[in-house]
Amino acid sequence: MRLMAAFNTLSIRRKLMMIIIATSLITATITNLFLIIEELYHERSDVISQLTTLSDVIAINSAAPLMFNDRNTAADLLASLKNNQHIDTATLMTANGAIFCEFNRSSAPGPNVWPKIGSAGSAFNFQHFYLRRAITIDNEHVGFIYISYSLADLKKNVAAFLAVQLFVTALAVMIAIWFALRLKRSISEPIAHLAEVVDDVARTKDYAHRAVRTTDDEIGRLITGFNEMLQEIQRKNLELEEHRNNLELEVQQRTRELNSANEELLKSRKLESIGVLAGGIAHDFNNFLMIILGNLSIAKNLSGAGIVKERLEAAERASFRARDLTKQLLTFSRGGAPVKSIFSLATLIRESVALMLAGSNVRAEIDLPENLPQVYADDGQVIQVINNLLLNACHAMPNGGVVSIRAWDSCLTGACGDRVAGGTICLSVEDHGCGIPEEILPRIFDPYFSTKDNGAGLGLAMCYSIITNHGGSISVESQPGKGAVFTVCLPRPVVSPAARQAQPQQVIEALNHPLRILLMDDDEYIRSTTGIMLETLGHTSVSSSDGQEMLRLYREALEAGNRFDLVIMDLTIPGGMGGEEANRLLLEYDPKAVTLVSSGYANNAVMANHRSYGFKDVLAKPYRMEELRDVLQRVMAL
Amino acid sequence: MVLAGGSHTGRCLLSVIALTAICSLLLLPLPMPAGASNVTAPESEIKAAYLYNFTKFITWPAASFSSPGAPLKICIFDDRPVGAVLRDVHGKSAGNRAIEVFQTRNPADVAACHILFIGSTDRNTRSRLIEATRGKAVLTVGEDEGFADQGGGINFFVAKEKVMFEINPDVIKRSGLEVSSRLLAIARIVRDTR
Repeated sequence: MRLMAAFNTLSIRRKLMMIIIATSLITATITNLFLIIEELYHERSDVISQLTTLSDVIAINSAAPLMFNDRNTAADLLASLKNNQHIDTATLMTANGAIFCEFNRSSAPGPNVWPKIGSAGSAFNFQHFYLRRAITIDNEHVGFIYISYSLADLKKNVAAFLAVQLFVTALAVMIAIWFALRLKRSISEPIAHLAEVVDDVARTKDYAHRAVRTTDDEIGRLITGFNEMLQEIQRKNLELEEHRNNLELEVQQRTRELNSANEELLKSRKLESIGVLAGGIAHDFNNFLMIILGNLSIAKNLSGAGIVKERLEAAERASFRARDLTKQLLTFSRGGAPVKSIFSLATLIRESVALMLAGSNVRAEIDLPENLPQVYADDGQVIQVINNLLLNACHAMPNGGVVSIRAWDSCLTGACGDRVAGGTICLSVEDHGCGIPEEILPRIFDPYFSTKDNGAGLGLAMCYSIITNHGGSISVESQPGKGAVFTVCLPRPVVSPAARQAQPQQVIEALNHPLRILLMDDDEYIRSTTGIMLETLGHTSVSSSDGQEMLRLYREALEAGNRFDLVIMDLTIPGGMGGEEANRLLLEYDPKAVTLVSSGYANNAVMANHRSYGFKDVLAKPYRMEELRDVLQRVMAL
Repeated sequence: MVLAGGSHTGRCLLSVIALTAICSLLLLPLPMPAGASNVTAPESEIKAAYLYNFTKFITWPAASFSSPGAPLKICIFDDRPVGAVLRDVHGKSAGNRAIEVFQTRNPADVAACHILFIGSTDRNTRSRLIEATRGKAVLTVGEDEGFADQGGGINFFVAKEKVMFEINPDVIKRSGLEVSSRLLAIARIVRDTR
């Protein structure tokens, strides 16, 4: 294990070298071992066969000398062995083991004790090979011959052979080393090169390094793969860097967007609270105005012509202006949903501009595309917006000038879907006046913020409120001294304009039969004022102060076979059942009931979509006798 | 073994002598003469052993045997009694044939022998026996000087205190026998003088 661990720490070049050397060494050694063993075996059998043949000849020829005791002939026979250089000694023995004749190459005496020779008839020791052959003739055992064969030459031969093998082994190893050194070029060098590049990359963190591919094998593929990996890392790094660089910009951008969203939110919260306040004030105010205006119209009716009527009319006009103010206030009310319809923005712009700029020193330049789509919005509110913007432009140019009014379809100018899904239809009003100082630009849509001495600060705030209530946007661009551009964008109608047909203009016939009307209002003065107005119009009325009382009176009347022709309900009854719930219950009880909704919250959702709540029409407070009459005529004509 | 038993009972000196004698006896190769001292005594024994040994180097024609399994007959034409060695030879075998040893004084018997040993005798008797075996497959072995020259096959003689033999290959060839060159290699060769 330790050897293996040590081997594992070596470089690939050394490993290869070691493996090649070890392999060649082992192969050469094994081959040589086999060759040597084979050589030894071969030599041995050679010696045995040579000696056996020789001893057989001697044995055959020594039988007669042995049997006839002819030592001379036997000695001559043995002496013939001297021609064989390897035979050291030879001894003839009689059958009972007595030495008959000896041959000894050297002067030294032969072996005194012959080695024990087994039944095989031969034995080896380090010096000699011994052979014993029995001498027989005609199956009769007449003696033995012992021959000792010197192995000195054989050993020399084997030693020489061994030397040659060692030389061959050494040569093989050297050739293997030479090959290993050559192999280095194709295996270990590319790996070493790759390792170097890896080190470089790790050290310098520079992924621009590339390894050079020199071979087409697995190492080549490895190098290609490594290079591709480096390239990928480089690419990713670049991307990361780009992201990092852009991150700051993106953060700035997001921060800006967040800030603006926060401002927007703050603005809308401000407006909302003001709207709630304004809505409440306007509602109460409308109720008072209702009483004032109603009674003024009653008084006017009673007074006849003359100075009194003139005064009453003056009071009525003041009341109207007060009503307009409450209307403006109510637009801040969040609950005030726009009463939408399909109309032509182009027509609206032309009419408003004509009305607003008539007689002023400001000239209008109107640029409207011919195919400007219709919009789905509250036309009254849109007129208010246009009027306010024109008014603003006029005030910005007290000495006169040109105001440019443009409108366009954002989907045709390439900005479709920017802010509002489905695109927008925009209009801009540009003046060339004094412009708006940069520091007050963010506050320009705040309520009650005004730079004008006599301004209420509600104009632009109202525009903002109206447009955002429509789901649109309003913005301003200004350069001090060069003027300002207000841009209003309204969402394109989601429903095709064709689906919504303008209500057919009906010829309203004068109502000439008296009606029985049930009134529901929490305000006693309004009940009495409206009652008098209805009486004046020739109708009769019964009053109730909340929904429950109204429902009770209606049921009693119906059960008495005297159904009310019309019910006029106030929308909000503090502490009691309001108009919405009362109307639902009433229609459940009597689906034929005809109802009107009346409220100071002119922009309330129920008021805006009265039909879907079951009301036949609306009566926005305050109203005059004329307006009451018109509504009654309209409802009864249905 | 009786002497070995004596070594246990005898005195020390006697034991040494006895042991030496036993050792020399044991080392003595039976068919071989061991030394010069006892050449005379076992000479006849050596010759008897050699007679047997000759059967290994001489081939008789098949016709000289009555059947394939018929014995090989060794005839001793001698007055002296047959020695122990020849008695041992009787019953041994040559190849797949048994060896039978006969002693005879009748010249009429000799034609049926395969080996005829003619003990030392007078010239006339020798001639008559040679004549009786002429042309027959009989190996005649003698021990008188000039036997081989006179038509005998093999003749023993003693030289340098050793029993040696001479062979007349012509005679043997005429008898229809074959003699191994190995035997010829160790024998003295004589040729016909007649």
